[in-house]
Amino acid sequence: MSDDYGLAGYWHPVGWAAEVGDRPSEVLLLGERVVVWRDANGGVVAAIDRCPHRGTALSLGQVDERGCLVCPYHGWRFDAAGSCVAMPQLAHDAPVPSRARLTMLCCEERSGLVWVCLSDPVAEIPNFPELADPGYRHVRCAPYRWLTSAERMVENFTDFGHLGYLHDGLLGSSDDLTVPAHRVEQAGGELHYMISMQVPNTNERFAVTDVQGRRGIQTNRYVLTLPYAIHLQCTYEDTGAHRTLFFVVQPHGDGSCTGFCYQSRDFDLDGDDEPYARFQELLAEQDRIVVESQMPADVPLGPSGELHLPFDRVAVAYRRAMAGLLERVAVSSATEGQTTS
Amino acid sequence: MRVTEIDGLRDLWYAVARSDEQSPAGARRVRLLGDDYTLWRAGGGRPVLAEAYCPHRGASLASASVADGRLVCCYHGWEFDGSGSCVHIPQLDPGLPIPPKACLRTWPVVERYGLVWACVGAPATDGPPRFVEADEHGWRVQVDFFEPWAASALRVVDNNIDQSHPAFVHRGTFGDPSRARVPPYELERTATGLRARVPQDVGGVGPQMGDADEGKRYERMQEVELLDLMHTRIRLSYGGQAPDYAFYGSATPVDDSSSIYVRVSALAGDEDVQPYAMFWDFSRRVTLEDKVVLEQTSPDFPVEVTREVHLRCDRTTLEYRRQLARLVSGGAEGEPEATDVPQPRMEGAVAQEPSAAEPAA
Repeated sequence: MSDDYGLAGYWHPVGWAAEVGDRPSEVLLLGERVVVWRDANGGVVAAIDRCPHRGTALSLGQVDERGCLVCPYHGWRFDAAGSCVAMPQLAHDAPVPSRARLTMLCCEERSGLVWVCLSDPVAEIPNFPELADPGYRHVRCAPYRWLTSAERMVENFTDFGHLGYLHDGLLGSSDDLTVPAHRVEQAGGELHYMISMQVPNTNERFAVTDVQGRRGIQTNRYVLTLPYAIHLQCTYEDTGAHRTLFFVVQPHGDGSCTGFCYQSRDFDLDGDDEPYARFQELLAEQDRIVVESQMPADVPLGPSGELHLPFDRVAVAYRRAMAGLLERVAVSSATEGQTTS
Repeated sequence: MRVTEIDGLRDLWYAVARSDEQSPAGARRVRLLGDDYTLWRAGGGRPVLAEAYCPHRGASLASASVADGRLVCCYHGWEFDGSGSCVHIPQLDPGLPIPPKACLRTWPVVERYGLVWACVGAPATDGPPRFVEADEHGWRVQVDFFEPWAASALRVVDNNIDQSHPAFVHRGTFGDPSRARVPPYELERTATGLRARVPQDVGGVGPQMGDADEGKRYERMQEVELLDLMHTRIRLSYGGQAPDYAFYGSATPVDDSSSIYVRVSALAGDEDVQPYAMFWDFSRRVTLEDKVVLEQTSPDFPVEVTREVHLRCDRTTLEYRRQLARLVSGGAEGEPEATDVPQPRMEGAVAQEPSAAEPAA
């Protein structure tokens, strides 16, 4: 995994929890093939997707009535702790060799997503507080699978300069693209920043904004949880209503990534969800075409990699924080190596 | 050798677009010698070749739009003028200067003979080789082909000056396997390439001169020139028996294994005696015969002449390899030492070496 090593200690989303059902799911996380399934109690479990016998992808197999994962090749059965509990080819009464075990991974179900951590977790799962708030109505957006790095996808989600240009009439307006002043503060593994800006009333095309006139002022408060989660709370200053986006990205490690997004609101609670989903889909498609074109696909983390202007503060802070995160882990793993060898 | 391994080839001019296909309204991606660039028309329609990606966030400038001759990045709307300077950053507070780093590198571009030409190295001339017929009065000049081929540019150029393949490759048009022998011909080395005069007695070429009868035979003089290492000229003279014509064939090296075959033709006859549609249809058939063979060739082009077998009729292509070898060794200016370019094995050993062109053995 080399470069991605530092990311293995973080929790990453690998899919909507509702989509993990009776059959095992195959997911790719940071270059590792992972199998996710539900045990007898309905809890999610994850393991490296490789049978210890002949390396078969267990995700091609079945989950039996006791919540055991059954290998599709020779029918070996593994329980939710990863132990092999049955080898059909073994003579009766012969003990199952203890080496026949799966490599189990940390796996949790939270905020409607399945989260996996490939090594010992160094951080918490990013939080989405509004999901438990009955005053909000939530729309789950279709996952965005893009051919680029997770860093490019995250940066695009929080890039102010393109809002009125690429999303003219939807998130801003091309007749005023200057970016209001803003500050970025780092608190542990989080970046906090806030910006107030004019937004167009899109309700004729997409009834999704709580703006009365042609334009309204909207204040955005961001919490970017390293490495790949953003909680964005938008406040419509006219009415005080909120729209919240919770956005997390799964780094596949094969040059692609998948973004999972909730769009939530505390207004229009009996309204139709469809315009919200279509609105986000259109924005994502406008972004995808541009972001997939970006070269290099991996964000240059050094200070001189690309050009930064005052309105690119967030990207600069994010790159610095990511460089620090990867370096810190690289240093600590190097020292661990020294003490154990 | 592969085309991108020969640094000296970067200093030549290559056709990167047809003039009539480069609209003033959009930008396009150009790939040349393995690298990507952006081509657009700046103010006054002047073509500009610049970097492929925006210096701000790496967005592809091939997706940019063009407004008033300025390239407008699709991501944040930064605008670049024909010199590559960024002239507008919409997000910047008014009054703040545009950082000087916000600029695109550009390369020399000229527009000639219906094509846009660019050089991404150190050009020795102010444009591509002269197409003499195009500059003379009385010739009808047009771009016949500008199309991607899955073959090394070196193979395409080599094929253009090759004298021994037509009898076989072109047997569906004007070749005749029973007349495969090539008569002795003169070859001289020029300052930038070579020139040969090959007398020919051919059938099947009537449509090139406006005579649909493919059974008729013609005696003609084929003058083959390598104008530089990537551009060829073939002039076919019929001594008044039929209208003359000339082909300018070249290959734009896209990368090691693909190229753009570019051909410009000049016809002496008027449209009523030498109809272009008839000329083009026949040329198309001939060209496709070449394409089928060239797209199967290896991208590794042997410039070491001892690696292959050469016949007397192969003196043009042998000389091409020698000149490429000199470019590779950095001795393009001077005569090679006999030890630099080993003497090839010449089958039949009857080859008469061109006196002015060959080093003393």
